[in-house]
Amino acid sequence: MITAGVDVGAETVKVVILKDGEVLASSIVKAGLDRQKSAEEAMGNALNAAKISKSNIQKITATGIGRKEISWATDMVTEIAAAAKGANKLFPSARTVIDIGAEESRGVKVNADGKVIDFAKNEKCAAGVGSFVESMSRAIETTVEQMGPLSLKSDKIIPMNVTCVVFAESEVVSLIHAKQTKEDIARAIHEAIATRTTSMVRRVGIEKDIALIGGVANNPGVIERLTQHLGTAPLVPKDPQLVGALGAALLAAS
Amino acid sequence: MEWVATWVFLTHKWGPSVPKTTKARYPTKPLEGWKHCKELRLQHYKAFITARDEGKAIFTGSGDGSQILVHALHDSLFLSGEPYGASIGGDPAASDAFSEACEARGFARDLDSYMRNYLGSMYLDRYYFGGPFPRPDFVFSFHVCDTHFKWYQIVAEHFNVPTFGIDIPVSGRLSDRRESRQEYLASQIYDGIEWLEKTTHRRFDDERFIQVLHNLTETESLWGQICIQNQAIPAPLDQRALFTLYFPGFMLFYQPETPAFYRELLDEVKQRVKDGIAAWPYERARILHDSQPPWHWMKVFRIMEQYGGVSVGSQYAFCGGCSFDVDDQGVWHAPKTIKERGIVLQSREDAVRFLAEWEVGRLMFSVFCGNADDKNRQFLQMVKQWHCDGVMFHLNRGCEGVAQLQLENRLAMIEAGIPVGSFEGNMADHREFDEAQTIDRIESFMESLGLTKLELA
Repeated sequence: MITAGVDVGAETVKVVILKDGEVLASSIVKAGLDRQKSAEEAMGNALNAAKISKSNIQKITATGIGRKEISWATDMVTEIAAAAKGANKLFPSARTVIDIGAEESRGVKVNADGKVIDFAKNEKCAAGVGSFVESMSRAIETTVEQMGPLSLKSDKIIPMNVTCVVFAESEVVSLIHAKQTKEDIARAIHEAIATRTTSMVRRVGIEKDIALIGGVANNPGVIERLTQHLGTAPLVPKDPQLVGALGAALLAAS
Repeated sequence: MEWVATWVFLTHKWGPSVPKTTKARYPTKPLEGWKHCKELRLQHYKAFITARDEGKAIFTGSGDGSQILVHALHDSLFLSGEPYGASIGGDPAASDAFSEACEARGFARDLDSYMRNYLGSMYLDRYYFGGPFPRPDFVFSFHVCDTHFKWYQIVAEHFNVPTFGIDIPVSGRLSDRRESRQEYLASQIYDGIEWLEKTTHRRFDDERFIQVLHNLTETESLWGQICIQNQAIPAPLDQRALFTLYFPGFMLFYQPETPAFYRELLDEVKQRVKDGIAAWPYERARILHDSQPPWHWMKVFRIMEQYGGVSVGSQYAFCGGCSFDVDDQGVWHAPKTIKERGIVLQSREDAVRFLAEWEVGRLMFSVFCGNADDKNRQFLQMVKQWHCDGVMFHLNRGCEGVAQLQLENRLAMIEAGIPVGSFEGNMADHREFDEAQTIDRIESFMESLGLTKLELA
């Protein structure tokens, strides 16, 4: 059976195509204002890579914040269910899944079958998610990709009273004026994300193993800080941003 | 069968056109008492517009208990701040205008949203149901929430009218120092009676007082019986109905129309149970709700229903209109009336003692105690008796009092193995509500209960 998962996120649209539970192809494209169009493009890329046509796909499940915009999806699931299922496939031992995307972060407690037991999300604040890193990278005149490596060069913890992205930017500006290095500021930003995320995940209870997924899991600076706060290194898959789409594709097949 | 509704779902353009159907599990029909209830509510609020012409006194204050004593003096109209603020909260445009008028006078945006709606309406001199804001003759308020009496102090100062507050003691556990709390409340009730006589220049009529208490317990007993009926599967009433239907019992218990209405409603609900009539024909899971709802977005319950989740009750709707009797095993029963208790109230002293005992024992007040134990126990009991599959917490930023124990309650449910979901919002200020996030949280919770979205047109 061939199924597909489409994860329509705030920053990117991800598609995973599965055949009998194994990945045939995947793709990621930047999400434009027209999510449907972005999803079509992502699906087209994945179909080309898989060398199949749309008609070969039996079921398509959409997830992500823009899932309701995908008219051609046969089903929808929430990001929570998709994250749990995808993480369970990659790391069956994981009982806690941390998913940090561009717009939202989530903590999910799962059982051995990948069923959601409890979950928590960030509330009305981007100060613990990917768009925060992006915004702060601009403030210190670097790129998102460089934030992690920069952060790992620092051995200093500068506290940030992060209550929201706007205030955080003011704090970063103050740190620049205080002649703090880019490396130290990058680490402070990741520290802020890690404390916020850990606090949120504690609401559902932290149980090992812990899987870290979502685009922010590509950032080694966040992983380093989260490892400190969680007291254990999270399991991070290759292509962590595709796990939601993978979960959706698995749910489509189930 | 006629009631088995079938909807056809169009599949995606690439797939085969296989129609998907969701069949109703239970029959349903509209509740006949609904319209009457809405009329009673509207009559109450419209009465303020003509009260002056009819020579009726108007007073204002918190909750419902405030009016028990005043109705022993004369026929009067009581503008209770919380339900009035909730009415405004259901209308985002009005709520914006009123709360912003209040905030423009320096009130913080994170204060009680009922209060901001009410005070804004007062400052703009615009009564939500028409005409100018009803000027009270005096303020007389029972209160369990400290900030609430400050609210009515502001009202009294604004209109330059006399004010009196009765503090219902809540702290620790409901069972703690019960007798001394009753004595403390009773002593204030005596002071309140004296103050009312001096302020209104009317004699406090003990016979009327006792009659009001009889009406109160009869109304609450009937409401309790209606709530108990909702233990049936399928639930004959949903949460939206309960939030509306409890209003007469909460606000209008003193008038004979209210127990008469509840008797009819109880008969209707019993018949629905007997006939298996469901509030939502697709009931697949039963959810207990916590806190006031976001009145501006009652769709919160519709989202659950799209998955077959039916909110069958809440402490707020159950206990806001009724002080349940709890037996030695912790089981909730509709409260007995004064007569059913075998009590004969013959004097003011008897009546004051009874009122103090009744008010101090209200299960609803557990939320204000600052100790989660009572509310946790109540929740576990409600989940059991109303056969709930999970609890949905509205983390309500609009009411500090009701919100104060919610996260502890949430943990207690999780420890007991009861699935919980939550969403953030505000009961009467839509500016603090994120629709997309709320839908996402509810849908995630429904999925975690193993429910899938119904295929509805």
